[in-house]
Amino acid sequence: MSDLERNLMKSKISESSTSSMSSSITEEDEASSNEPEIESTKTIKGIPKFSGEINLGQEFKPPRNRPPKLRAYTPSKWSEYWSSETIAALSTPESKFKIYYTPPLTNSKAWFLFHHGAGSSALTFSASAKLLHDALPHVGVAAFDARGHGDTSDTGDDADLSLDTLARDFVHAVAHIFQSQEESDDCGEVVFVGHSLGGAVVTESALRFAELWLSLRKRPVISGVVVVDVVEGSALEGLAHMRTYLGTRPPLFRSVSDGIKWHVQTHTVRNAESARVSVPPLLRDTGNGKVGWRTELGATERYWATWFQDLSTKFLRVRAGRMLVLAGTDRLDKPLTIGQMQGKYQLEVLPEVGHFVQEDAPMRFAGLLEGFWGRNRRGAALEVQRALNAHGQGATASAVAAGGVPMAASMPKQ
Amino acid sequence: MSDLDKAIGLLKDCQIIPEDQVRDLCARAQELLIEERNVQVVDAPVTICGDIHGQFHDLITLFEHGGQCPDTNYLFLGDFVDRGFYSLESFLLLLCLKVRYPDRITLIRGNHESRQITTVYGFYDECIRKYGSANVWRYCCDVFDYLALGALVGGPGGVFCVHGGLSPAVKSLDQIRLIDRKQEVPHEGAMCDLLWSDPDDIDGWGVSPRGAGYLFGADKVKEFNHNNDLSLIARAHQLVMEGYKEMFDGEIVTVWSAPNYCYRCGNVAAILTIDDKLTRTYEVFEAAPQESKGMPAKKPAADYFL
Repeated sequence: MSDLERNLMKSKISESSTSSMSSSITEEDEASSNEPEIESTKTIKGIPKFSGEINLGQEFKPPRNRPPKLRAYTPSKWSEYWSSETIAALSTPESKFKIYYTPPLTNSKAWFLFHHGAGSSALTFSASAKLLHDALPHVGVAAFDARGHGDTSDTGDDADLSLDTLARDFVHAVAHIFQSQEESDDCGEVVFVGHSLGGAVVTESALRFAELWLSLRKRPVISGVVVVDVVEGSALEGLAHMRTYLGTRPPLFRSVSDGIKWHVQTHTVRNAESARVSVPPLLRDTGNGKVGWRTELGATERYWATWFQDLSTKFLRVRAGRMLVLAGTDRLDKPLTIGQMQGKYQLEVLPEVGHFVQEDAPMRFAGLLEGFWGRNRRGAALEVQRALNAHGQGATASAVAAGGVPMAASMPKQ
Repeated sequence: MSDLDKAIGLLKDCQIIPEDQVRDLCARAQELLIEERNVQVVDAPVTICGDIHGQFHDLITLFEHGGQCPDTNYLFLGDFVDRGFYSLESFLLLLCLKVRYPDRITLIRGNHESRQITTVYGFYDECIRKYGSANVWRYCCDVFDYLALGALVGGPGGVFCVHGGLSPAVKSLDQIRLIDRKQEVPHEGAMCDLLWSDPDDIDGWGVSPRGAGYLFGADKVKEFNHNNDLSLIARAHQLVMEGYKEMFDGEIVTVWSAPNYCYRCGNVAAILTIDDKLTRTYEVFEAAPQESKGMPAKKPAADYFL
């Protein structure tokens, strides 16, 4: 899209927008100036919006209680977004995986578990997970730092970023979360959400859930799998450019704040509030008064192609609700194009956001997850059936009351 | 030769027509469409066509197979725009034919005939690229709001035509006739479902994996056909690799008319002719040789995707 087109799009969209831009642009405002633009597109959607979706009116903003000048690129705390953090031994007994979570308000045993992309961290989901939990307080949200990332350490082999290993870690994280719940007949349910590489990890984990599940407790039901901004075809094509991209990243920053500033000013993350919490775990002190990257992405190159190989067909094989959320433009490959046009999954394309969808437009993203939950959680299909039958379907209504109506599958039989 | 015939000539050559002419065309089309009912009654014989999605050269091929309008009576089931590179030329050609031969071509609305969807899936960008402003997109969207929601071919025992399928809120054709259709496609309710739902091998109604509309089973199709004295529901909306697919003892058919969808899916396309005895004849056709001229360069890969 050219700048002209983009500007026209913006002017068109702003016509119907109720959000108003700040008239005086200070440095601080500039840092977050993408926010209103991004969120003003919330009426433009890939598919219809349902009344049950999130509607909190304004874009999420943490309390502004710091002096404005300092605020723009100052790191913010995970605790502004999550209720708890913990360390779990997900791989070896000595391993220390960092998990952030906010449990369900009740013992509802329903969770969203998020997996970040390569070089990112759990806190990339901070703002959207908080918004989702605010909207669905009976659903827990959790994210963890994958091996070699963020505050996770001593994993046995931090450099082993093979898809198989990452999927094992992820399934063990699911087990860890459900382990802390009271024992009961209800084994609970979970929605997997993965961004970029994380999308490949959650897809792999969903397909091999039974095989990788080592806990003595019963497995929760996977109600849905959400893949965010990764498509096998374009990812594999893009591998060639990845080295070049990594070469353009500054190796060092003077401070964490400088790192946050870089992410915002290069539009890597288009929302300063998100960057303030998501960037700090990506950086580490180098010992000479500077900070450098926590994860050496270049060293993971041998895994890149294997992460995305067959991702599209795997995604279409997942036996649960499926949603693909893409940033900016529809980059579907052949299997996903066919699958989409056969109605096999929900596709959402968010215009005017970058790769870090969950950070750039947390409100829209959380709203999509909430709607997805409403349609795909356990029992949703049965409730639909009941509601429809109660709505004047005479003959079958009494049968439903007697529990005798065949429940419509929530997914097509293939 | 009238301006309209000249416009048809230009469009058949895959050339666009001036903006003010598009405005006039859309205004005239609206005047015609406002007179149409939600369920437009169409006489047989008629040739029913599914999704086009801006695949202009394949639309021309379709006319070569089915016969030219007005020699052949056509019914298009919606999804004229988005995804392909020539949504403008495709939709404007169909609209010109509609205005020129109103009784020989019927256009009903698909889920892509919507402001929200066209903003994301290509038609909006194409209008900007080809006209430099969003005016033409706006004129076309105003026409979308007036398109009929369905059609009834062949009277009693006939064929109900719709883009998506059935709605739990609709038990009879009369209920569809009561919908106030002149609006953007809503996010739920009968009008949304008619444009979004899919048949599936289930009993009753199911949650649609698309996130909009419903899945409906054979029992719902048979019930609807029986209650409304229909022999067939003809719909589009789902890609069928073989071009068409009958389900549920032949009581519903999906017709797909965009061959090699998105220039990459490798499927064939089909059109369905219903004659005055309600006999069905399918014509299958393949994609036109890929036209590289005017195709925008491939979108650049994402900067950062890991």
